Amino acid sequence: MQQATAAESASPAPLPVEAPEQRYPVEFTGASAQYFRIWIINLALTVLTLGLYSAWAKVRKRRYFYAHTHIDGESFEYRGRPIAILKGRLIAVGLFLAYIVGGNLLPELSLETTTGKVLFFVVAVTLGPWLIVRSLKFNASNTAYRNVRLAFRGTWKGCFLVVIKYVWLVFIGILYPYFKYQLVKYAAQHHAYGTTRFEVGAFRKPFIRAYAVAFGLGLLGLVPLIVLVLALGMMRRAEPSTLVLLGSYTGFLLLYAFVRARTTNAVWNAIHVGPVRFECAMRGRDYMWIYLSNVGAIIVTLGFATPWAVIRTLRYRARKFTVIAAGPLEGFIEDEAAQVGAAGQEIAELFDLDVGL
Amino acid sequence: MTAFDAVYYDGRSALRRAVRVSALDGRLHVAGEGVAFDVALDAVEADSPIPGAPRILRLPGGAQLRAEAASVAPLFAGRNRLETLVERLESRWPYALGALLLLVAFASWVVLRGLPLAAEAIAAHIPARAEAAIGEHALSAIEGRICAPSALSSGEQDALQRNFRQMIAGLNDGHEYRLLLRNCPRMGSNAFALPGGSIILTDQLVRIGGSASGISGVLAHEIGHVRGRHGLRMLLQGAGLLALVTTLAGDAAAITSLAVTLPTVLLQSGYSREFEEQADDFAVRRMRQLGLSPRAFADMLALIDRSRVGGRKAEAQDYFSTHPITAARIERALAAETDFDRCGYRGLGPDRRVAACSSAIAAGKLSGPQLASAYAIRGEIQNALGLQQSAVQDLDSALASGSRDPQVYNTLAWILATSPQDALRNAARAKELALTACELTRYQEPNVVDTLAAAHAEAGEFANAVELQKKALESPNLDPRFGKEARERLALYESGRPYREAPR
Repeated sequence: MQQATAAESASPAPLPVEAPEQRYPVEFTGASAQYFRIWIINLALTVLTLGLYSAWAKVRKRRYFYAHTHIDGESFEYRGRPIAILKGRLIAVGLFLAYIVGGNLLPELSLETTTGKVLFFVVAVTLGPWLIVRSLKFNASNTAYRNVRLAFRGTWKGCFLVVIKYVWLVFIGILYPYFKYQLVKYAAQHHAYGTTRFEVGAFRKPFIRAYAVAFGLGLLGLVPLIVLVLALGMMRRAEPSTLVLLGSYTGFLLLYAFVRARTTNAVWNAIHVGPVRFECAMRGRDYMWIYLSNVGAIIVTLGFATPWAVIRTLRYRARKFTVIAAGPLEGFIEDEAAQVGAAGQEIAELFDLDVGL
Repeated sequence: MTAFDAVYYDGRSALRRAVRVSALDGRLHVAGEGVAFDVALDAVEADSPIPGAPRILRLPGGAQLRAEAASVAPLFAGRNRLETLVERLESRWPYALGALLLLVAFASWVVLRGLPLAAEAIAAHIPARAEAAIGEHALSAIEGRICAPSALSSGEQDALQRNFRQMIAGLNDGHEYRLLLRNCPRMGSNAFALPGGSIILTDQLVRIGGSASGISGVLAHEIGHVRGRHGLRMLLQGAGLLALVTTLAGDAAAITSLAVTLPTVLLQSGYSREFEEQADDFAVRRMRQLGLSPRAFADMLALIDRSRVGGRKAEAQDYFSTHPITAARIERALAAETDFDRCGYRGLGPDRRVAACSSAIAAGKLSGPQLASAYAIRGEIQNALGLQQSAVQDLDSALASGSRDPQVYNTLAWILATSPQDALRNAARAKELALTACELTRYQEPNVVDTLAAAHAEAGEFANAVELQKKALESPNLDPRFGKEARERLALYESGRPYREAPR
C-alpha cells in the first residue's frame, strides 16, 4: 500500500454540540429512456446466453440504480459480483429441481400429506432464517456510500430464535403482521453503516396499523366485489367469472402496495444511525396508484413498460425519503476489523435472495 | 500526460476530499488537501462504466477515487472488455432497437413454435408410467369431491363401455385407455381425458340425449387428447411459459405477480385451443374409420353447447375459457364432412342423403367398397321411399361394384320377389339372391329366410316356401313386430298364393 494520507492521523472530529439539523433529500437521477436501453440490452444478452448472463444483468441494473441514487451529492455504490449471484441462482435452481423430483419420487412426502407438511415446516423454519440472514448480509456488504459499506451483523441463530418464538402467529392469520414486525425489527437492528449500528426506536404501532388499515380497506373492497358477484349471478348462473377474478387480483395488489408504503415508512422513521435519522413519507394512496398504473402499463405494452415502471417507482421512493443529520455526514469511520474476509465473503455471496426490508 | 479532478475516499471514513489526479509513467499521482500519494496504474481496479454516473477507481487497500467517466476512460481502455462492450451497446438507440426486435422475434418463436416443440419432445421421453401417475394424481383430486360414481343404469353403462371398446379397438399406442363413468353435477355435461388414458364421461353429458355415434365422437375426441399426450404437454408448456414470462418481465415480478400470471393464462388458453382442434381432427378421422359421420359429432357439440348454462352469453367468455368457441368447432367438423359421410349419416333427411350419395358417386373419387356402399345406401333409401325401379338399379350397381353386404342381396331379392310392378319381378334371380343372403348370414336372420320363402312362393314352389317360412317364424331372432306379417304370409303360401307388396 502506497498511501500516505496526512489527514489520517487526525483524530475523529467531535460532533458539534447542538448543531441545527440538516436535511439531505435523496435524489434519484435515473432516466426511463436510459434505463430502457440498459434493460433491453441485458435482457437480450440473458436470452442469448440461455439465462446465464442474468447474474451480470442483475448487477448491471443494480449498479445503475445505486449510481443514480444520491444523498448530499454523492451516489451509492453496488459491489455485488455476478459470479456469486450466478452460483446462488444455480444452487436455487438445483434445490427447486430436487424439490420437484423428490416430490414425484416420494409422494408420501408431498405437501398433501401430514408428514410432508411437517417436513416442509421444519425445513422452512430452519432454512428460512439462514436464507434471510445470508441475503441480508450479501445485500448489506455490497452496498456502500462514500466508500463505507453497510453491514448486517445478524446470525442464523439469532434469526432462528426470532422465528421460533413468533412463527406460531402465522397460523392465526390475523396475527401475521406481528410476526413480520418481529422479523423486520431483527433485520433493522442488526444493520450497521461502517461501525455505527442502526438503532431502532419504537415502530410497532404504525407497522401494525398499516396492516389493520389494509384489512379494513380490504373489507370495504369486498363489498363491491360481492355486489358484482350477486349481479352476475342474477344475470346467469355462471361460476365466478373472469371479472371477479380480476377484481380480487387488483384488490390484493392495491392492499399490498398500501402495506408496502406504510410499513416502509414505519421502519425507516424509527431508525437512527449515529447522528443521522430518516424521514420516509410515502403515501399509501400514491403507492397504490403507482402499482396499479405500473401493472396496467406493463400488461398493455406486453412488458415493455417495465423499465419506465421501475424508474418511476424508485423516483417516487427517493422523493419521499429524507436523511436528517445533526451534523456533517463525514463523521463515520469504517470498522476495518469487521470487514468480511475473502473466504467469508465467498460464503456470504453464495446465496443472493431479496428479502424486502 | 492526463490529469483530471476526482473525489477521494480513504475507505476508513466517509470523509470526502477533492483531489487532482495526474497519470504519468504508468502511475497515478493523487494530490489534494491532506492527500498526496501515487499508485501504479496496474494496481488500480476500474469499475465498468455506468451511463450518467462517475467512474469508480478502486485503489489497493480499500480507498477509491471517483471521477468523470470520459476523462478516465482512456487510462483503462482494454480493461473490463465485456462490461465495456455491454456499456457501448446500452448507450446507443440502434442497438436497443435491435435488441427489442430480437426479443420480440425470440419470444414469439418460443411461444408459437419452441415451447410446443420442446414440450412434445420432452413428453415423448416421459415414460407412460410417469404420465399415468400424473393422471392418477389428478383423478384422486376429482374422485369423491367433484364426481361420484355414475348413476346410470347398468344397461346404459354397458352400452357406453361397448361403444368405448369399439372406439379404442386396434389403436395399440401404448396407452391404457379406460372409460370412467361419473356423476359430476358441478361440471355439467362434460368429458375429459387425464394423462395416461383415463377418460371421464359425466352422466350429465349422457343425459342430454345425443345419439350413440355422437357420444362415440366425444369419446374419440378425448382419446385424441390422450394419444397426443395433450395433458402432459400442457403442463410442460405451462412451466415453460412461466419461465419465459418471468425472464422477460422479471423486474415487473418484483412489483407484482399479476403482470406475470395474466399473460401466462392467456397464452395457455391459446395452446389449449390448438389441442382441442387436434383432438377434434382425430375424432373425425377415427369416426370415419369406423363408418360414422363427423356430422354426428358436430350435432353432439351443438347439443352440449345448448345444455351449458348461459347458452349464447357464455360464448363471449370463451376468449378466457379453454374450449374454442363451439360454433367454430362444429364448422370444422362439418368442413371435414364429405358427400360420402352425408350419404351414410342417418341423422339427415332422405332427400339430402340421396343427393349426397349421388354427388359422391358422380365425383368418381370413391374407392370400390365406398362406391358399393354409396349405391347400396341410395338404393335402400329409394326403396324405403317406394321408388323400386331406381332402387333395383342402385342395388344392382352395388353388387356390380363388389358388395358382399347380405342386406343388399336381401333387399334386392325382396323387391324382385314381391314388387307390385310385374315388370320388376324376377323369381329365378330373386331365389338366387335370397339364397346368397341366407348363406352369408348362415340362415340365422329370420328376415332373410322370410325373403327366400317369398322368392320360392313367387316361383310357385309353395312347399319350400311354407317350410322356409315356418323356419323363419321359429327363429329365436325373430323381431316380434314382424311376427304378424310373417304369419299372414305363411297362410298365403299354404293356400298356394305368392306375397305381393301393396302398390305405393
